[in-house]
Amino acid sequence: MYYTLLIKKKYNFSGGIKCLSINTELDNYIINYIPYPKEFFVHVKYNTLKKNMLRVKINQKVLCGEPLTFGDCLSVPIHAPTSGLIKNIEFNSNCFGINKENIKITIISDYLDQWIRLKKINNYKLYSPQSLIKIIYRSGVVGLGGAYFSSSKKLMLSINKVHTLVVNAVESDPYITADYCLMNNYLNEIFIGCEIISWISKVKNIFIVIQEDKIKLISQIKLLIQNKPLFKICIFKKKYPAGSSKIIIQSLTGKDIPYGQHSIDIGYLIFNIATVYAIKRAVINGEPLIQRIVSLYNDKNHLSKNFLIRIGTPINFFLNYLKIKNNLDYMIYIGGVFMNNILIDLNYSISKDINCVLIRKYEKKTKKPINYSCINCGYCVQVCPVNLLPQKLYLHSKYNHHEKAKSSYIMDCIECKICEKVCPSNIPLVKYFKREKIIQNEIDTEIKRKKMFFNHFQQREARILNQKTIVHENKNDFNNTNLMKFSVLEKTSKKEFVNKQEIEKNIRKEILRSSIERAKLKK
Amino acid sequence: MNLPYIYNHYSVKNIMFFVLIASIPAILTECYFFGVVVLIQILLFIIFSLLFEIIILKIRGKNIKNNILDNSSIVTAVLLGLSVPATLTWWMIMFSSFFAIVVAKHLYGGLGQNIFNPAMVGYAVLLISFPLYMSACYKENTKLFSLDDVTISINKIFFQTSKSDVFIDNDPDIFTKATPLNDFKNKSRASYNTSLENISLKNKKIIIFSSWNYINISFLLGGFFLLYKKIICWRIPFSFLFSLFIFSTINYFFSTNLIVCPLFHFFSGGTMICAFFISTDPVTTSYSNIGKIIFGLIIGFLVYIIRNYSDYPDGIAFSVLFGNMIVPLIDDFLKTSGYGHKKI
Repeated sequence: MYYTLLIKKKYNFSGGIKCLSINTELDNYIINYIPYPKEFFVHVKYNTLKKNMLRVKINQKVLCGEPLTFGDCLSVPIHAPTSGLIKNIEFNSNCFGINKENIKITIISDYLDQWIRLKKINNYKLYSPQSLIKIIYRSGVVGLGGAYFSSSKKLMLSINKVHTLVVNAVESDPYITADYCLMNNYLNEIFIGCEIISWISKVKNIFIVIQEDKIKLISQIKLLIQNKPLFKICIFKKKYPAGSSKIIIQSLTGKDIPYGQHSIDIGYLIFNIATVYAIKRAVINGEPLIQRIVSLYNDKNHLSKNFLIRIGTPINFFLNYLKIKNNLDYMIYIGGVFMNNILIDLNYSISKDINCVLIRKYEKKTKKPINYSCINCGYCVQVCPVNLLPQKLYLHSKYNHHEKAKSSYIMDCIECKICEKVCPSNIPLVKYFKREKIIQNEIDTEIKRKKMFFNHFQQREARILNQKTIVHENKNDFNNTNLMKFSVLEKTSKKEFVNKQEIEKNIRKEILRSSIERAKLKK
Repeated sequence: MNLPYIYNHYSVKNIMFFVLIASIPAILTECYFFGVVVLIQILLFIIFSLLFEIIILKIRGKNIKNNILDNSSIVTAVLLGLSVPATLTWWMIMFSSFFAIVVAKHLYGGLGQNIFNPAMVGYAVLLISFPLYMSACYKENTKLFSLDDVTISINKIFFQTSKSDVFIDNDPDIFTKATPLNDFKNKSRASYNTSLENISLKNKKIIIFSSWNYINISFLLGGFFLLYKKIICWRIPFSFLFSLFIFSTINYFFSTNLIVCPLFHFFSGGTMICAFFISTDPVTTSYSNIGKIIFGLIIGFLVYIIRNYSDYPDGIAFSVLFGNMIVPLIDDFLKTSGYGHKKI
């Protein structure tokens, strides 16, 4: 408590909610290792356009750290977690969204764990930034906070544009301690990672953002910082949705990121602390990203443990190791206490963006929570961190007022689920918002499609009319001026299009009249 | 939902229950001054409103148990019983609770959809249709909670026997009145030309020591309990009291004899019950913070105007209803911008 008095300024933001701190001491969190499972399932995002992405075949031997796919401009290559034999390659739907198809690669490990040859770099300042970014790209580093955005592309965009690097060590969800555990064990390596990033994108100062309850870590960092003018520590208040990059920048600078832009455009580069660690491993040790720290929260005894896990370990094995045998009695979620998604498929493996697995005992609820109607109390408005009006959005989305919902900025919602937890009438607000967002996206694509087809239609009409008139006018004298007119008409606006239609009608009428007259004459 | 990691989490049922708890001191003080009539009246209000609620829920085809358990109809009944004077007969109670529950609440679509405050609609209907009963006054209660008191009050409510008791006015022995504001208004208007100073001074002395002081103070205590529990927001009551204070002080310094002092405005009539219990009803108020302040300011201004310049002695019901009318307009103009958009 002595250190908290020394801190002068604590950064804060409007909205949010206070959470109770964890009762057990934070010192107990150390990394636990678990043995390797027999089968690894590696999931690769599948795009329909790129079918020659895969680098391996069935029944091929792979070594640990060997790339399984070619990367392209959007996605980074994915590496094999252990040495072994590739058993099967198949399509598999993602367990969250059914529409997104994934490729699932099954690897049988041979328990030898043979690595490929790693290329170590001792002095990274001999290399140019571009070549360092290439190394990071080859080792497959993505944002480990949950964004899954490739960090090599972020670094490419940031060169000569940013002035500060923000290292995000804020864990908003109250029971996730994966990042804290990482900081405790590998603090020196994280500092080296910060220096590498600062050398690549030439930033002037580095902010390390941390929450106020981690007192011991703060004092450690302060000791390390003392002789380095680049670094600065920023301390946040303990509140719930502080982990998002939007909110961090708002509370640091007081400005919002403009709509449709990224934090790089303002001059801030944000990296999660696990990503910084992965970048250091990639550049200096030459290791590809094949393992990460995942924290496990068990609801029964209110204790979270942290595990260093190879990516691709199935969750089934993970639970067997912890001696949770009867799977039917437990509900398993991915994500923290607030932002969780239920897991249907236990064979789903740990991917790069999972940082917490939540286990709850399934209880048959005798009393269903009663859903009252919204009483307009305004608790959700005061709590919302991005300045929205959740109850108004709820009414618009419930009664299908799509235009009103769009005009009250439904697309800005970050789905932190605070409003749902605070609501006194137990309304599942975020469910409505997710449904409304899907509908809004559909409407947007439909409007785009309509515009495109209308453009095509206009061009086709103009072309046909042009041909017809030329043929028609060839019967009479060939007139240059008329041709010029129609070539102007090709780049139509709407009024001219209407004019054209009238002209066409007149021509058709004349043709009809002449044919009728001819028929009369024949008679 | 039981969440171990969030402070101050209420459900709708709990919110309504805390409002009921906060109104207990006011009920007790009213009982002390007026007798058991008040308790019987509130009980009748609760019975009638629950009955109407059950009937209309059955007609609408909704789940009766869940909708009654949210306690909202009991809250409206108690607030109605506290705000009307204790001289009504049973059919008037039925009449007003019918308007409060059926017309104001369920014809608009149930809890959460109503535009007007149901308790105030019931009060306004009574005030327009039976103005004589609503401004009646009652003699000082000497036999508290004795058998005599109970019989008299039952007679009064069910059979309307002791009519002569009710309508005594201009009697020096009268200790309590329906509202002291009424008395002040009548006397100051009547003797405007003759002798201003004596009467107004006398009136003030009598009125300040009347029972309504204590009733208002007990409402204030309940209001502070609600503020402490964070069930109501501080913005509406404080902006309401602030605007009432400001306007009445300006007026008071221009004509000290004609118009009562601002402190008298605070502790007479239904000022405190309006500030902490009626105007803070979440359904019919604006949800944004600035909207709440504007709503309170409008109500305070209207109460000041109606009390000083109109024929009604206490303008709280009409001003709250008028404020409720304006609320959708306030909400429409005070749109908040989302994250990252240009601020309006």
